[in-house]
Amino acid sequence: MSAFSAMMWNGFREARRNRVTVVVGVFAAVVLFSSTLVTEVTVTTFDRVLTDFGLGMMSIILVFLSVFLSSSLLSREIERRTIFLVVSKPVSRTRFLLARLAGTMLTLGVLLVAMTLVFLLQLVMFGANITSTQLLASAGLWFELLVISSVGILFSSFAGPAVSAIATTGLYFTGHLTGDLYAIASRSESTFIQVLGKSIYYALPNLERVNFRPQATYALPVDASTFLSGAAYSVAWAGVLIALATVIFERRDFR
Amino acid sequence: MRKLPLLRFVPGLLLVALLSAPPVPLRRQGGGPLLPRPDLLKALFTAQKGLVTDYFWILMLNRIGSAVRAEDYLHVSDYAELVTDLDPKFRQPYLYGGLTIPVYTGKGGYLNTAESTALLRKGVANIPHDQPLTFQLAYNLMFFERKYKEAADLIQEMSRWEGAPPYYAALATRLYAQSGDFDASMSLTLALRDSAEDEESRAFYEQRIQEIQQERVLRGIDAAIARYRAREGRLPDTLPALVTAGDLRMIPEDPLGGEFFLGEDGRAYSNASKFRLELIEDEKTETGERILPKPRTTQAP
Repeated sequence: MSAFSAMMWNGFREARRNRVTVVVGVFAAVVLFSSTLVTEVTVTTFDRVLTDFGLGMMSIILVFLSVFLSSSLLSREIERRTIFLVVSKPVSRTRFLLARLAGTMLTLGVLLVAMTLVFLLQLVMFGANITSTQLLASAGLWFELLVISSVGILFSSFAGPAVSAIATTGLYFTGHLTGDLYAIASRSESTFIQVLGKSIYYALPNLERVNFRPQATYALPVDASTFLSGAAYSVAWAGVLIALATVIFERRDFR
Repeated sequence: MRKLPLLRFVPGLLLVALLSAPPVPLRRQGGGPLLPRPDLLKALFTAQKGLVTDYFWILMLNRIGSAVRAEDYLHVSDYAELVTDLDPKFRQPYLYGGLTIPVYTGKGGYLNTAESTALLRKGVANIPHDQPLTFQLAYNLMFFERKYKEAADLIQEMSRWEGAPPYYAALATRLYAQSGDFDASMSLTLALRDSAEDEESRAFYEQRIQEIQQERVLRGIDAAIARYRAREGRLPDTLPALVTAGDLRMIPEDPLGGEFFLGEDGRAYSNASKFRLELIEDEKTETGERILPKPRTTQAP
């Protein structure tokens, strides 16, 4: 087993051992199944309500977990002094950071697959339609989590867990609003505001590119190019953020 | 002593039990439910728009379920507004809100109709070409708002949609006539007659042309009755009284071959048609007998 995969599996095992992950997993199952109760108080819109509640809950829970896991990732290593073990080995800090990100994404991926299965089971139980967009929305969520986790790791490379978590949460909300910012700036009569708004838009990741939940609500098709360009865009942003994190992390002194 | 730690909870639990109360719904000034601003929700929950919309949609349905008074139904419109602001393409809130918000108060009276119509207008603007939604708006315009011309325009447009029932076009001609737009009614009916593919439809529209002509004449007589009433302070006893008084040059000829008479309600009718060319409200007596226009009778002094 290479050093990279060893560190990645270690990260996965650590997250699995973490009580928060287990609690979140159990909570997710309970919440997803409790959507059943929601169908008791609605009429005619079962498919829509099940889809929105299922995908929405998955998104909220996993974003929360991704912020928690990524923002405390490095600080935990530093706090427990395990970082000294790693930096003393012939493993580059970049590889270490990438392996930790891979571990986090593996954890989130496994939970996402499990939650999607619960979600699909629920749809089958209620005789609701299963559409390809629901599956794409679920897959899109993983790419959204990739960007959020990268942001979390970037902040945790130079700040404490609380600051990292707050900043990552802020960027999560901002990432979903950048499209509106672009639209508002475009409508402005001032060229300065237009340039400023558009610059901010391009300087921040637009998480709506991989948010296919609104399309899943209406079972609207998502073409392959939209999905793939969104996924590639997220990977590119994750690359930029992790590159920035590695630059900061490599210069950091742990003494 | 072992039981002592449990005693620590007693004061707190007693206080909690004492102070617990059912939730009090927040109300805004004016009495409606205090709901969050849609812009705030949109900004906070962009990533979870569907989830948040559905949450308020479920609350709206429960509001409908628990509504008793007209005021309660009016508050449903606040939820419908919020839900449709969050997701303007969500069809059901328009339809359910539009249907349930108006409350019948008896004797043909309705409350909350303006809110229902406004919601349906918003729905039709956001989801064009939705048959049930557009028809519901046309229904509101016909029966609540009495805006027959606008209803006729909607029904006529719907009659061109794929799968539209054939009676839509006929209903549009009736509504145009009721709105007083006889030219629109006549040109639509002529077009429908000329494009009719079977004899039965052609005969129907041929009859409708005569009904439109008859209604136009009846409106003229109604105007003469109104002039007489304004001057004399009472209704004429018969239609010939209008000719004697100079409000009508002569009793016009009925295009359907019948004879005109003055009805109990002070409007003109023809014995060649059961009803005027307008929306028939299908009123019935207490014994279930259908109310038909009857000639006005005057008691001898």
